[in-house]
Amino acid sequence: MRLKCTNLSVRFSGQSGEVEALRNLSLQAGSGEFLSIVGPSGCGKTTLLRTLAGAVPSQAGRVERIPCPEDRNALALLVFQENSLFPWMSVLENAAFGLRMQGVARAEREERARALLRRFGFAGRERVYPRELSLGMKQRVAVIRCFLSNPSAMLMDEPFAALDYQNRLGLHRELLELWEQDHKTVVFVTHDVEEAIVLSDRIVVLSPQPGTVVAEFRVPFGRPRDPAVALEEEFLVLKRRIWTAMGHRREDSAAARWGN
Amino acid sequence: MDGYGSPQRGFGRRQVGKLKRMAAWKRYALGAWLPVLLMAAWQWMATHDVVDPLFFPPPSALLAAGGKMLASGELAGHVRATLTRALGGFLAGGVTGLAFGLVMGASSRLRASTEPMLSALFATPKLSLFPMLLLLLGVGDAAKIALIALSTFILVAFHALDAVLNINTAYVEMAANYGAGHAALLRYVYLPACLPQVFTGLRLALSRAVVSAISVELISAQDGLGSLIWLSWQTLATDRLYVAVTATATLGMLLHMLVRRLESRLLPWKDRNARS
Repeated sequence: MRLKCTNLSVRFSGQSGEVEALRNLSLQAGSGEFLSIVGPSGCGKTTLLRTLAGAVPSQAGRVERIPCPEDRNALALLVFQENSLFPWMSVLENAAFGLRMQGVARAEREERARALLRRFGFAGRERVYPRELSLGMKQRVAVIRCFLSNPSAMLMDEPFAALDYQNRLGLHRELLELWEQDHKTVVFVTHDVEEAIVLSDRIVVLSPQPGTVVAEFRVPFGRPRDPAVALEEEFLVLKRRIWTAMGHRREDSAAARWGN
Repeated sequence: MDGYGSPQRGFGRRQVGKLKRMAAWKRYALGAWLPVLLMAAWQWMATHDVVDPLFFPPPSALLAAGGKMLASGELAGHVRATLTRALGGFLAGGVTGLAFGLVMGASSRLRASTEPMLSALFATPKLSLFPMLLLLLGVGDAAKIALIALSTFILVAFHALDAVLNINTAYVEMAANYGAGHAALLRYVYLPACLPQVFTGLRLALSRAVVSAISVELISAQDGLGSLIWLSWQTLATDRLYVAVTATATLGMLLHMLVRRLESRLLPWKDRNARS
């Protein structure tokens, strides 16, 4: 599936009056592309994702989800940062929820869910409820559920933002491993530049509210990719360029600001 | 791999966790020592003339009286009468209250036009409506059950309403994103999301139903624990009076425990450590 938005503008009325979340935003994620969107908090990244998913109406512009021959369905699935699992369903039921919605018979969907769960460390814990899981484990189940549905696109909203460093590294590796199977179209929203470089093919930088595209970068590292690319010189060069595009300068450090 | 426990456990949570892990006999022992101590003190005071045994007969005398009332089937008859009224009212009020509360949560128009009246009713002591119900339904059991049903109805309806209003829309959006239609949303999101608070409403309403049954029996009934209490008081049969009060308290406690059991059976996913 290709995802495309053209001259998109989104406003909604919040508690403190009208909020302009996105202004005149155009971008495209090609079929099989892993696209990251970075930007400061409150630049409308989440709104953009939900608009792409069709959950939020836009005031102007177009959103297109263009099917490709290799697509099995028309699903563009969201993965959230929090409340990503139904608390009243066990790990197994959560993981198999997408398959259930597709009408897959119980025996088959549970078998497929079990197989993937086992691979990611849930052996013997399939009947546990989300309240007993750590945040990292919850997000793992959310990602597994998404992949099991075999969507044509995945829209991920800072899914790993609340995790500690170790957990995040583990989940990056697992996400890349799953993604390598069939290169789904992914739009991945994050405020973490390193995460964006490690995971994606291309990175789009959004401005602060109202969000619009200010820069775009191609990630030069090949596939399949190991998160250890973060240790290479080239990585740092790219990170510095994105950093600058986001409006940060070296002088912006606290010492420089308080110094003069 | 990370740990499975939640990162933060406050002191309070740890205490509750401790209570949960405690052996059953230990928990019962901790729940029993205070009443047993009070009974012993009462016994001593009644047998040493610190209190008048005519007004406060010693627990040993109560046990004897209670045993006699149990053996003759008198107590069971009263308990049955009270339970029948309470459960009848609870069922009638619970079912209608649940349905009404859910519909109220779904329709803002219905909510706007009925909520003020329900709040007024909520704040009114239901017993004050009893004369009116007597005029409407006659002096039989119908008026009593209607009163109990009314108290139940309001409690359950308000809790069901709150449950619907507090559904986290994130879950609705998530399910819809996976292709859930109306029926699937109802079954996999709305219903399970509502259940905990609906259950709280039902639990409170069941206790309220028993309380209402007793109160209304105090005023007008030939049988039931309430009438037993009132009759014993009027004839100054204090031993029978305290037996009836104890039976009432025990009944309430047993029902409460039963519903709690049922709740953890039906809602295994709910975190009971974090009482919400």
